[in-house]
Amino acid sequence: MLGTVVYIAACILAPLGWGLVTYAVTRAIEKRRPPTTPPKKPAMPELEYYL
Amino acid sequence: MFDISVGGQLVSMPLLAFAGLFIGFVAGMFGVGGGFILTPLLSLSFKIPMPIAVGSALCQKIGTSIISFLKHRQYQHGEVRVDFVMVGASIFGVDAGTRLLGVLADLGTFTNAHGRPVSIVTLTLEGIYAAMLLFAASMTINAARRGGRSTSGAPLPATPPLVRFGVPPYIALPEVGIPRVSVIVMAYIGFATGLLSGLLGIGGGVALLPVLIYGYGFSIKDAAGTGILLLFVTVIVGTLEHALRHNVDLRVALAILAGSSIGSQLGARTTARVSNQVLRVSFAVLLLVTVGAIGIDVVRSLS
Repeated sequence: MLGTVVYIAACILAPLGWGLVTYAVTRAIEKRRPPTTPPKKPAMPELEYYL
Repeated sequence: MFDISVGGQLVSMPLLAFAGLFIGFVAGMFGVGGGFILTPLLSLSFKIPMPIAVGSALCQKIGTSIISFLKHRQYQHGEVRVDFVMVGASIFGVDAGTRLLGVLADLGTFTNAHGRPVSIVTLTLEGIYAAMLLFAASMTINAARRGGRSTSGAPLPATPPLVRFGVPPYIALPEVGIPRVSVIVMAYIGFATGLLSGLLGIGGGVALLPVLIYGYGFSIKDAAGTGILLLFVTVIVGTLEHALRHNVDLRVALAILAGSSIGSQLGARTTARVSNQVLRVSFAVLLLVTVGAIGIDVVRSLS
């Protein structure tokens, strides 16, 4: 039972943690080195977030 | 040394990370999640059993969807009421999709004309994927033919079809300028989104965005900003459901997530150097190549 709970918690928390770390690192890099060119809009915004 | 056993198949973790790099590059370059290419990729290239491919892909999507959620909450586009109406039904949909996947997996195999066993769940999901990818490719080709004019510039019916659907109770969507929509219809759409997520291992956006744009008349910007919370909740619930059924291999999910984190940055930098039209055509080609690969696998299985 405990093993299943730990497994499920890991399946949700591990990628969540990775995503948060990636977001934090990306933001830190962007703050240190702001983009010199304006960010380009997604080529297909109608397909954006097709997860 | 870096090979792991996934559902009885030996899989290389560096290759998984490389696949994640590719998926992330696609996502960063084309502005899409890449999820509907990931599950077929895991099944076709790595021969990972489809239920584990679906569950692991959903687990990986938690990492990517939290980034989308954090990035776009600041933009304040879209209508959060849609998320709230749909999220409850989508949770039921995820459960239904996961159970349906389990039923298909339990059907086992059938024997083809040459006496080889063919997995029913793999064949069924490959058919659904091919249909969805063809739909996305046709949308992309149409957009490329229009020369990149935004959908919001195209003439829309006076009252979009789903807004006309008069089943009470109703709710107003003031952020997107829609006076009333049926809560029941919206809930069913949420259910369908969750069903696709639980069944196919995708976020559901591939179905939700066309419905918001063509069914409700949302602008592209508002459609893209709507549903992020819904999709984030959906992938978490989907991962939970699949984890309960031991369909999630965390090693697979994290290997892909590691690669996709880098790939998405590379893709985003590349997109600045390429015209929108070239991006649309490239994306359509990628989708059609994936459909072709699925088709070859289906024919090979049946023959």
